[in-house]
Amino acid sequence: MSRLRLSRRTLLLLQAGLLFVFAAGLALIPILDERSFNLQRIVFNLLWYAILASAWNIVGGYAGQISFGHAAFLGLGAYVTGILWSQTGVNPLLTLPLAGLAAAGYAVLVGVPTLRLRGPFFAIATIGVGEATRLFFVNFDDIFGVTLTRGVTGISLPRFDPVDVHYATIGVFVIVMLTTMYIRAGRFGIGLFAINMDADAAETAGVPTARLQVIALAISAFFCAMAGTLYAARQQFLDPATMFGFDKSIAIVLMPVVGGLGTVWGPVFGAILYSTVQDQLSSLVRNPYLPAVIYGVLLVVIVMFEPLGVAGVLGRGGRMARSLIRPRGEVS
Amino acid sequence: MRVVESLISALLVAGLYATMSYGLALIYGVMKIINLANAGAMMLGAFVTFFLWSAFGVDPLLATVIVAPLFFGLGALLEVVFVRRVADQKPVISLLLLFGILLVMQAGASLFLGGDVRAVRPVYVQEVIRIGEVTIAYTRLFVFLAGVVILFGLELFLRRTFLGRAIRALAQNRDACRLAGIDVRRVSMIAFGLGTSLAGVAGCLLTLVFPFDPSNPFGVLQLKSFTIIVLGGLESIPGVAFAAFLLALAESLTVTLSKPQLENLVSFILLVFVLVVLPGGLASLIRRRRLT
Amino acid sequence: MAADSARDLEDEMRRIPAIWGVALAATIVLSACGGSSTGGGAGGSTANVPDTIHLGAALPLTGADSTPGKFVKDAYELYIKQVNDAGGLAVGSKKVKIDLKIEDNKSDAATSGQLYEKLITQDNVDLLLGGYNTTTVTQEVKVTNRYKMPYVGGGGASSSIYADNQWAVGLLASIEKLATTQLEFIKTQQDAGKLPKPLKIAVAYENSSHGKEFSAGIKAGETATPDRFKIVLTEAFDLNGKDYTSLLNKVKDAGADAYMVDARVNDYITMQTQYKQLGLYHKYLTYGPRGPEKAAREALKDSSDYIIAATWFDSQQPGDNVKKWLDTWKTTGDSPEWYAAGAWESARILLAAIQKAGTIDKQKVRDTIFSTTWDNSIFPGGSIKFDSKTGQATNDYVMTQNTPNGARILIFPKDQSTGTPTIPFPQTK
Repeated sequence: MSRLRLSRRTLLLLQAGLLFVFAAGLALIPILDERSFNLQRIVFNLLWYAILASAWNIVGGYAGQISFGHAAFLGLGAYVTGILWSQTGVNPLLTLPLAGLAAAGYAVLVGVPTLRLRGPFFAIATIGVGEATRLFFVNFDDIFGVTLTRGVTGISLPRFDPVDVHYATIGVFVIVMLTTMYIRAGRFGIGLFAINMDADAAETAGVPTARLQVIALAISAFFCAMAGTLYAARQQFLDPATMFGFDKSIAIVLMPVVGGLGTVWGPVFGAILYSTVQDQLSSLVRNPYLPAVIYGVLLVVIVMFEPLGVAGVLGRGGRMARSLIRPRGEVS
Repeated sequence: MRVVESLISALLVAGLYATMSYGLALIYGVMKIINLANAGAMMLGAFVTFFLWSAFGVDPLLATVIVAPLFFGLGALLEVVFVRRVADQKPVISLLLLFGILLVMQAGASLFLGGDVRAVRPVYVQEVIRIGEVTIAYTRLFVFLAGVVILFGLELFLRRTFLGRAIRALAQNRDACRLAGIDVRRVSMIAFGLGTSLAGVAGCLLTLVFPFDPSNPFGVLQLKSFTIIVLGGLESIPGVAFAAFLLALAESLTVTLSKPQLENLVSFILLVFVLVVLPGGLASLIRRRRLT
Repeated sequence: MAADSARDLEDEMRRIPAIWGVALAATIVLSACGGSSTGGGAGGSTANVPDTIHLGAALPLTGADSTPGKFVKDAYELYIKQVNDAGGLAVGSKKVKIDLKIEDNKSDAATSGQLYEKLITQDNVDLLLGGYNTTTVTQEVKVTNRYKMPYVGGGGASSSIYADNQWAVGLLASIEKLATTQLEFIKTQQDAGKLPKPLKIAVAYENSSHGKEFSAGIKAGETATPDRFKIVLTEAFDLNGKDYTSLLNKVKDAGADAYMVDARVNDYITMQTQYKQLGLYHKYLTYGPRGPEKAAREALKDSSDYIIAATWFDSQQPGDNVKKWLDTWKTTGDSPEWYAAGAWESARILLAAIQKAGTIDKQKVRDTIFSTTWDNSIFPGGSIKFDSKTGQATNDYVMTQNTPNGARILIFPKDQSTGTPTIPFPQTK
């Protein structure tokens, strides 16, 4: 172990610093070229997926509780914003914290009973939660006899300046990344990883497993809902099938798994891969079903051979490169 | 009167619900794995049935005889090549693996077969039995009877044969089985094959009642089968049959007494509710009843 | 295990700067390939006509709507191929080639919105052709309005799509009008003494905006003429239902003369099978726009006889335009469903508008589309005119009735009809 070791603190600061530089660079885009619609669009897609993937990773990757129902939080956030905006005309970006809190509250409500479930049962419960939430919003107006969600017709929203959304998206992304970095490095994160390894042992060792998991789910839901707000402000139209759709929940799971489950930057890689394939590559493939087959195969391969996904592959590459430069004996 | 009809209607639907859930319960019992690819096997079963029917005029009920062994082989292969390697890891891993397999099955079916709606139409599709005011279609009756036959067949197999007993023993205590000299790997392979075979047979039966495409109605049915095995206490075959009937009844009554549009909402709320309030399923209310 | 995780954690922390470099590089490469075309899209309108006009569309090539999606794709491509084979589109004194870029939106509205945005901002397409499915089209129309891009589509009929719209046009008349057209036809049958007055109607609709508007249309008819129509039951049902017997028993109890449903093809097949099994009978039965689809008739055989439908197009319509189109469409080997006809007309109108405007200037093309009456149409009535406020066409529907042996006749409007409707439906057994 003769190689240079940076302290944890330095590493964290280094990452945070790079994150800020990156964010500042992205923030400059509309200032440097106000007609950079395409770049703004690409940045939005990328960060939007990265926010969702990183948020999911807190509970799915760190704590190891796989949720197939995160679209519930995404949709809830979007609808909180959509309803407040269309009913009161409030600036949608001001509803960001409200949407987040609503979803966090919902996460606690759902999480307290379901997170007690061990093994695959939490995952199955979340499928139920996701679908029930979607159907609840489909039938919301009929159940309560009001006109708020407009059921399957969806909520049509006014126009909003996409440049403002651009800045807000960068802001939310930075906050999410700082949060995941902080959790990963801190006591809270270690607790979640202990639960991931062996929940019973963690409990015995004095880790308040139930509380930590619920908090993790609430934080995760908080950020997913913010992504929902950003979507509403930018795309101006919400309907239950799109916002609460099971395919959204699946995409949210796929990105971190492909990118690197439980790593800080894995979900971001997953989001880059996912949004690039969806955006740039789908029109190049002759048969439109091929990408889905490839995703499936990729998932099987990753689960069987490289559970750390893209991040794991990069890590191996890094280790290999290092072992090439260094004399063999020195490698620990 | 309509409530009685709901009851009968629920009984008929329960045949399909139960058949598609037996495999899930069996595999969970032996391997403690939720087979997310169950819906994929069901879909492939439906397509094989459709192919047999349209190419050779094979009746969907007869097709089960071909589909069952075919899908037993498919399941056993999946177990040997994929599932076995992750069986000892965290449940998350097998969940994601089987989900990947499901994606490949569904997208692959779309890739090769297209997304069109297909339907099988046997000659007796219009034939009905009338009992008083109640009308029962042959197709639905056959599906129900098939569900009953499979229930008893499975119970007999699990209780009367050596292999069946081995499966039950494995469900109870894996390590003890190893010590007792049971070939755990072989029994797991057989259980996974059997589970997949049951899903394939459910696909055959489904063609009698629904039109289908590579993704519909399998997605919704898969979610419902989760509700059923959870409600049924996860590992008990009769529990699954009873839970299938209960879910079908709840849905049917929702339509009759309330709004039809709430039908699916009921089953998902029931799923979450049962998981939270009765994690042991209905059986835990009455008595502890497992595969054992 | 715990030690393992601690090592992993350390390990990951150490290689993070390297990972960061890769992430940044990836993003920059991405940005660069996107950034190269920055500044196009919404602006840059020139009166000069380029050598090639680029069109774009995102369609549901996979997922729930992949069947109609394929028809739309084939129709767009066929029309454009025809134009290019003839040397191109004559704009002013110039012949220009047409290029069409089609993306797959996976039957998802969010994806479709993103892809239309990409077509506009990255691929710099000049004009847009429309997608398919109500919610998807609603999202697309939002995007086209944001970027002020003309958009011609034949795949969304709900009037909710076109609220607050200035740039998109839709060829499909509203679903409410679909319901109203059916009621108009029923009135003629009432006056001929073939259906009772008032007609007791049971309504069941899929829980979608499509279904909701269908139901609203019938409700409006009841309010306007309560002496003719009386709704005795209204129920919504979930998409992809499995067991309709409980719903159908409710319908049975309602004692209606007419049963009017709005459903998708597979739900129509399931429900009609169970309808027949339960031995239900009504003097008048419709599944909204569904009825004569090839897949449904093959699945249902004689169970689908006499069912009435109202659609935007039917291949049996009289007229030379329709005949000519059918001859062209034959080359695809597919049945001539209405979605194909709608897409064909969309492509035709968009290109004709470019020709008429003599430019690809977005404002001018848009104004031309909105202000012109588009003749030589294969849609009922032979011409299409878009509402100057909403951009939605107000064409007539054509009504069909299935007849035994898998055939059908046109029954309404009168000048299009090819046979006498069988009303009330004959009672079997």
